[in-house]
Amino acid sequence: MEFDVAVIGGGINGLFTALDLSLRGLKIVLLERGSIGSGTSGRMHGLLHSGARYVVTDPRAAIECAEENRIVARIAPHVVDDVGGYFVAITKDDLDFQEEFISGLRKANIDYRVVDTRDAIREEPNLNPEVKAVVEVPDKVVYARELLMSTAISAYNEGALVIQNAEVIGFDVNGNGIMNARVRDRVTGNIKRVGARVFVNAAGPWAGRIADMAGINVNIMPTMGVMVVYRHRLTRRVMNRMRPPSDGDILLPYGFESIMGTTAVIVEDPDNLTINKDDIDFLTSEGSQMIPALTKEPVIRAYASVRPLISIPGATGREATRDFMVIRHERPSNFISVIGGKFTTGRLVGERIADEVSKVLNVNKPSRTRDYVLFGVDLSSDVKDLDVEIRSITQSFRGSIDEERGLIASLSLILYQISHKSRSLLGW
Amino acid sequence: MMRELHYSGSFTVNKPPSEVIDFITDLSKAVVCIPNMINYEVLGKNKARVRFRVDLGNEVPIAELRRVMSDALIELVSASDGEVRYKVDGRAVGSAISISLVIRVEGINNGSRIDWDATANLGRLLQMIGRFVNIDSLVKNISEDTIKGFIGCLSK
Repeated sequence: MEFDVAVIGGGINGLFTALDLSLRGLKIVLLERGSIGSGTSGRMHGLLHSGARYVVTDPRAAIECAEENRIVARIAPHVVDDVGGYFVAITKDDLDFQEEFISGLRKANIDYRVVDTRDAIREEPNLNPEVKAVVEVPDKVVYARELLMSTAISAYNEGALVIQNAEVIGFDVNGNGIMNARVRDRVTGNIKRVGARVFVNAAGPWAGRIADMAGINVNIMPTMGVMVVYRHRLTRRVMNRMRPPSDGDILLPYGFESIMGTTAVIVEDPDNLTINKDDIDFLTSEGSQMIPALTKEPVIRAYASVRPLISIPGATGREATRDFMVIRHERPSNFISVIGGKFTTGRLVGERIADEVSKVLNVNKPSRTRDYVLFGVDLSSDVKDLDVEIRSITQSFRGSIDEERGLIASLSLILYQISHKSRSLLGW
Repeated sequence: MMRELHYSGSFTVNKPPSEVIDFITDLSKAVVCIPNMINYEVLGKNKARVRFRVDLGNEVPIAELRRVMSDALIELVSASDGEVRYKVDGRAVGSAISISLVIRVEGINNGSRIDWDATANLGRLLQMIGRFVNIDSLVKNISEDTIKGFIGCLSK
């Protein structure tokens, strides 16, 4: 079976690329080494950025985040919690940053409101009583796995095949182009070939390895960010430290828990991460400056995600400092890589990749993902070829005590089924 | 393999050498002049542990890695004849850093001239940042910021 496009990587970038291209009428296969969202995307901190965090250091990323924040909330309201966010000044240095911060918010056209500190403490009783200034912004919480699975199911509904446990281990190159990806089926151990006209490398921190298989030498530097999960939800809103982005300045309410992030540590191997007690202590200490009660909260666990810093020959200067890059390689000419990006801007990244692929394939259809409501808003809506039994289970949550908690269970079940069906359609 | 980096410079302050020496050998006074200090702990007459933030610059493609936290143990190794030696061992972005710093203080017209000479070993992982930022200009910027901090403290 020959595809128009093979997308490598089942994280936020790869999934939205697959959905976008499917909506343009192309025949797509998505190959994920593990499970959907098992890499960096499923280990994010949960923040759907308002853009405020980047208004001073990265205004372009701030504007992109602000727009995508609104789009994702519109197309996937079932996985977004519109809690809002506070930026809080705790020290004099934080307070000194306020003017520049607010000026950045204005320039990026991000809604904000300066909140009286007494009102802020009334709203958020766990906030440090010494807080010097508070600015409210439209930060939101996004439930990562739910969004990823909703996107995967939507892509399948639009015709894409979504193959989990499919590890790309090499390419068959003929002349200037890739003919096939050699893929290890991690379920059976068999090696398969998947042919496509274009190959998209959306493998996140593993993108360097995939590029290497295509004969492209890249400099990759994986960096690990640690997140700490605490037993209770201590705030209604997202709490951000009012200072330039750094370690330990975001505390999020995620369901019933709180998540504190993050650190930046260079690692050699994205598959081999170690979280130190020092990281946990540091994040607790930094977070407690905003929310002192954090020091008394039991730590449930810590987890880490890896982002890649990649230096690619030819990508220099302004391009190299972009938050994400879509690179159409000269050789192989049907190979496109995406480097970087944030979870918040994953839809936009998918659109940009799809635009690039469309140029290669002479497709003139525009992106539709900014207005495409994802599967999951209404679980009773149709999924192609869904087993009666799975449909019955997912619909049984409706109106029950566990309707909200049933979402992730339902999406997992449906994902299992579409992956199974995709394998069958591929002849695996 | 660790690459050894050498940096040096000089600056002047309008304080006599004895006051400068007294200041830079009193760790409880000196460490608070480190820019972007988060916290510190004086561990005795000659040792202090400090935690501070370091700006790696906007060339780093991930915002979270542009301003990172560093832990360091600063030890006053010796102080005699207008020369003070420090040893700094620390970590930043998960990588080891080791710095030997020699400071010489000499009297000039209305104050002191301070010459400094640093030898730094950046851990292998930290050296990887050299793919994205110019390490020499990065260390130069950090040095200048630190000196500004010291001049500010000494001028009070």
